[in-house]
Amino acid sequence: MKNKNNWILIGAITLVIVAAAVVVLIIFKDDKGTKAVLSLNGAVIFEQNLDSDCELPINSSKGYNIFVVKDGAAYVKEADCPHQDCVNHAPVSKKGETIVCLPHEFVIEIQ
Amino acid sequence: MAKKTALMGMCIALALVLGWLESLVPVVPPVSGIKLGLANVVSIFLLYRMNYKEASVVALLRVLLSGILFGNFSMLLYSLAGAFLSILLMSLLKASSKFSVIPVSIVGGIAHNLGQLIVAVIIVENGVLFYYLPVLILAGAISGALIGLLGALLIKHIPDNLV
Repeated sequence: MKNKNNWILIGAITLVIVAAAVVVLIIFKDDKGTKAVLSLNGAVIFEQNLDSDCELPINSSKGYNIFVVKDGAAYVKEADCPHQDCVNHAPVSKKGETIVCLPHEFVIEIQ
Repeated sequence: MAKKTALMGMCIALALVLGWLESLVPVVPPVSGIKLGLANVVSIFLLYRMNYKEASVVALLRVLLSGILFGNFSMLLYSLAGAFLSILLMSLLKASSKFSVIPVSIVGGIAHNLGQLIVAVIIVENGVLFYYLPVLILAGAISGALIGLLGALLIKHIPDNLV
């Protein structure tokens, strides 16, 4: 009986993963984005066209992130956050892609 | 009572050390921030060999202590939410006695990532974070399965008179 329940549960989890992946793929389509929208703590602070390169320090009370657009893709070049997850993230250029720096509550979203 | 207190102290220390050991291993996953969660082996073990109360106390104290020792306040919030949701769902599933250790642990792993994601969405106030949902569920399921496997072995082989 337990064995059967286990497989039902694992089957249900698999279905949820597949469903979530499909929904996300539909919502965030694989389109080339046109601009990078930067927000701090949920508030949009800046928009940068992906056609033009830039290098911009984003300062907040939590610290800094150096935001870069180069060859149509956005990334974080440098930051003083503890885990450097935003710096290690690959450059983003497609619609819906994001780079998040949780400690600084800083989000780059491609639109 | 004294023996139990000592044992739980040991378990918190063990979980802390496991979490610290894991932080020493550099990982480069596709989405940064994913990890195995080795410390959860202790929670699984306590959940099955003692009860949900012991498992919850140890898990929450471990998160609190490692947050104070190694992390910062926002990290602590994510970890607490993850640990709380994880231990809650695992306790409920275990109490139903309908599932084995590994599936329970899989649900725990998923719940952990889900709890963290929900707090992240609330703190950053940006729903776009749900982009990571499928990857995080999958990662939680995989790490939960591995932790469950390890936990099941420990539950089976650690002698009763030790605990």
